[in-house]
Amino acid sequence: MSQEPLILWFDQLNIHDVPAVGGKNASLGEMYCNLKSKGISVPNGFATTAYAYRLFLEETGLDLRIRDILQGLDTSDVANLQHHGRKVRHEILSAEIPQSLREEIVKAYSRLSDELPGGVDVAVRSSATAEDLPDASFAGQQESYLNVHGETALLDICRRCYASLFTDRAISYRTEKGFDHFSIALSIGIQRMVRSDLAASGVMFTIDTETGFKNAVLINAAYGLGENIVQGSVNPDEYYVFKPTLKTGSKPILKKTVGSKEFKLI
Amino acid sequence: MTRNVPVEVREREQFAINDEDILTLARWGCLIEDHYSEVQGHYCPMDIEWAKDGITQELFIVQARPETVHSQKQGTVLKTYKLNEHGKILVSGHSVGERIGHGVARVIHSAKNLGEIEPGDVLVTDKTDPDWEPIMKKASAIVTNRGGRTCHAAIVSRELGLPAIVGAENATEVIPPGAMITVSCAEGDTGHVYEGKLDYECHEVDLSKLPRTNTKVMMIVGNPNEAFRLSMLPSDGVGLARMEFIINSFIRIHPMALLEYNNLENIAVKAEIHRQTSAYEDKPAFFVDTLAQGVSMIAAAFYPRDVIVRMSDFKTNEYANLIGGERYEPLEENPMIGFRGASRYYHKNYRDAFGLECQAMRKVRETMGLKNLKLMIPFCRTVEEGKKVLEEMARHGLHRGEDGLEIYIMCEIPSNVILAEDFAEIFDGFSIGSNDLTQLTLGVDRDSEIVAHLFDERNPAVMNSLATAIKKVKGAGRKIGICGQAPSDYPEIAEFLVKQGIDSISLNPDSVMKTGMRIAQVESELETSSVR
Repeated sequence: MSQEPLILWFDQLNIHDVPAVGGKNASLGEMYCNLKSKGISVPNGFATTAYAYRLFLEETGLDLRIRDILQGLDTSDVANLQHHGRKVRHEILSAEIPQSLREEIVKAYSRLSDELPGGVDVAVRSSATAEDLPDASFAGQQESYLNVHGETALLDICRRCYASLFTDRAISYRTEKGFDHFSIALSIGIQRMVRSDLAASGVMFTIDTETGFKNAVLINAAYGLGENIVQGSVNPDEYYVFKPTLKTGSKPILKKTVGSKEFKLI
Repeated sequence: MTRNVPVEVREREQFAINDEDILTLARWGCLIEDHYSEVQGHYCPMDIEWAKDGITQELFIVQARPETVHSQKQGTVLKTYKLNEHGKILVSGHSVGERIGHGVARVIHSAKNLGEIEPGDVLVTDKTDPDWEPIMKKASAIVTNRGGRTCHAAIVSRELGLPAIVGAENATEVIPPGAMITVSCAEGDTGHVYEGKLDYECHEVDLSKLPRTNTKVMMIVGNPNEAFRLSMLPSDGVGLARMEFIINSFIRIHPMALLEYNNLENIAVKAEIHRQTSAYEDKPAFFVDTLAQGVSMIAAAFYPRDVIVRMSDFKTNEYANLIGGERYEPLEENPMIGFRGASRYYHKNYRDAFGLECQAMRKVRETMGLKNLKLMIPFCRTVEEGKKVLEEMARHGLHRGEDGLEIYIMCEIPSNVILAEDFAEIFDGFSIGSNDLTQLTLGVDRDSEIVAHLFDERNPAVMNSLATAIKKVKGAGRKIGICGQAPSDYPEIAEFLVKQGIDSISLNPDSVMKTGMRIAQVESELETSSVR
């Protein structure tokens, strides 16, 4: 019987793969496979699996050490939470990624770079396998790293992604929702960077976020890479588009408001 | 790996992407939503991240996940918050959610001070960090200097059900630490932080309990930013969308001053117009775009239900108050019956400005495809005047009857009632303006204190006039409704109108529930008595 895969490409994934690669990566796979034909562009990439994460914990003995550290956790005490969180993350960042996984990541990165020497810039995002539960968005719960270049940097970031499953807020969130800390695994998504440092990026909701009005799309836009909007570092432009007549060929931009867009992330 | 750099002022004043990009993204958003809804087997609004490549100019989707707040909402109970008093506004920004909250302002400059937050405090800070979530739960409201509707602070506040104002620019400087403040998100898309604890209330409306009526219940809407929210209330559309709010709040400049911008002699006025319209080379286009945006928000909110927008109906003194307005408006002793309504539209002093209004309406109907928009002409004194206005509209590309365009007339001058059959030949429908009709039927100046006590819509002369108008218009096969204050203020008038067989009653949003119930009751009584 063949071993479970350590990495999977977007074209091998769909929305049913949440247990293996988390909500974000499964969603990217779903769009990559099904919406390209409708003209929607999604940058290519791959994801490490939950199996790879568990392999990492077991081979390094981290699972036992983390359980040990979390014995004395009290999330209602901010200082206690910070102390335990820091300790767990330190353990993860000091561990070696198992060779089998390292090789798979490097090989896939090289393929994503079209064998370009030195490699392409990628965006690296962690995705928890229980993330995007219908009752909580985990807003910003796991980290994103942009403009990652070269295999050494990539592997280092992968470790940081694993550590991000144990940020103070993630620990506190799981404790509050009653999830076991080890029932959730982490997948790392590695995707070709879009050069939005030279243009713009943003967020779009297909519903009005304030009123729940279903017929409008809300778009936020700012110059540079997207993180500033999510983090709230800039006041972005805001556009509303009306869905029903957009679908029948009209150009219903209902409203455009200029944001101050003081900074851009490059 | 990444760093933040300042953006040049010129670039900041421009939109980050062009209209084609906006439309492409929105189309993709719809496709993604449709796809996920199909896969999930239920309606699935989406939260999407996109990016544009500066080298190839291509757009990309880099993430998509189901939206988590509104898609979880269940039941038919609509909660609405209302501020009962107004106070000094300390700071304003984007409102998140529709609630109101109050508490002691805790101005947090660094994560180190987060421990200062006590349950019920208002968290005031530059921006929030995901690490702060446990603390944010304790707050009664959140105010940030930076961020848009999709930033972390906004998303978390929405999930926690907290009122929040993001992008309030200098909140941490202006709001005094330790002061009691009220955070209001119940006034449309701009949220305000008020000094002190203001009185507010929260109403819960169970929409499933609302009876449907034969008489159409429509709404009176002025502020486009409230339209999405108001569309959640049960109604048959908008019987009166007022342009004046949009012109006063968002345009602020007299349209003639925009048309004659290059020839303006008043340097101060010219500079002020330049400042307010810096994004526009073509100054009249600023008027057209801004008006179209305001009207389109209302038309979209209620689509495909009817939305009847009334062409501008300021009095000369109100027009004069717009920037650059004095030059174009005569000083009138009695503006209420002066250069007002239809008479302006074909007059040389305003007809070009009316042309801009028409262009804006065409944009909403033709470019945006919002064909549910109907137009209404206010204060039309004679049938001949009505014809002139229709000709003027046709000259600007608005042909009555073409592409489903219906043009209504306000029924607010006694002549409109007396000659209703004649007006019915050239207009598609009538909307009674009870305020003016009362004023002119009783000869009472609404602005006069001394005769104010005589102003009463329930006067038999007015009631008689209402009944006559309904009878004549119905007889001519046209539709007639009412969009004045009277049915909201006096349930007995609403009752009278229903009995006379009026087609629709337009109410202020806060009377929709109460008066709607009353209408249903009257209808059922009428039914019972007719069965007997």
